[in-house]
Amino acid sequence: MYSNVYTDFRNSSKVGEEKNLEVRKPAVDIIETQSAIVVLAEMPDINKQNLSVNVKDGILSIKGKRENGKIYGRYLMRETSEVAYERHFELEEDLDTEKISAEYEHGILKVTIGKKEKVKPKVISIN
Amino acid sequence: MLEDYFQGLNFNDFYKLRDGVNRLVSDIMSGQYAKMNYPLVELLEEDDRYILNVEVSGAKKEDLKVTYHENEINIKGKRQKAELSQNAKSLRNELFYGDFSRDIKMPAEADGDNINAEYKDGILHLEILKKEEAKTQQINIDVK
Repeated sequence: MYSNVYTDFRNSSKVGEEKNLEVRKPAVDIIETQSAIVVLAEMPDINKQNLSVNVKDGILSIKGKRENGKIYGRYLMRETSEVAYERHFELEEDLDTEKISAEYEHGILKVTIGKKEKVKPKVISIN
Repeated sequence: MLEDYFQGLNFNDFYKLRDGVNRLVSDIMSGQYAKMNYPLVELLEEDDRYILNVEVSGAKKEDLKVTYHENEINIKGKRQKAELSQNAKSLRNELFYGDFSRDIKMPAEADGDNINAEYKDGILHLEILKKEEAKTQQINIDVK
């Protein structure tokens, strides 16, 4: 049913252009619960003001820029890099894009999108 | 971590095996096979200290352990998967869960008795002072 929820939709990016940051797709877990879809995206070391989550035309976009502050020393080892994370997901129609919330903790962005409440079948009593 | 690709696999089931191999290959090609059990680091040298940043996103502070022994810093920790409620199901699983460990050899000037650690936004930030005698001495020279 949710075969589409994790479809990566676009590869084009604008978020990385200013500083020519490398654009990378964050690794994600996607969990479906009874009432919602939860996306966990690994995006370490990002200031909240550099994070964005939005939904437009049924596409969920998550973006984040990881930028080093001012470096005073010199690198002896460097395995991490400044990076622009970006990933897009096509949302199923039974998700309610008004019911979306996001939090950021321990370098993991968690986005929760509620499902639309199903219209309950009307029971007609027979006299 | 290979188990993720071949979960619940009965090896008679050729199609499942083929599917697992296909996903593994495509994940390696796309860089998604980053489920490493050792964290990435950066090590910086400043005049009076070393800065070691370790990427451990998802780990809780209480699950991290830092030890220092013979000029080597060891970082151990674990990333625990949140419990899924009964009716929940996993649709995609790219994040690494489990124990990780990493040893980082420090330069001889590092003072193992002077280490400060902080954890924020998935980054364990360590500051290791240099031994007193190793700090860069600034000598002022009068220019005549």
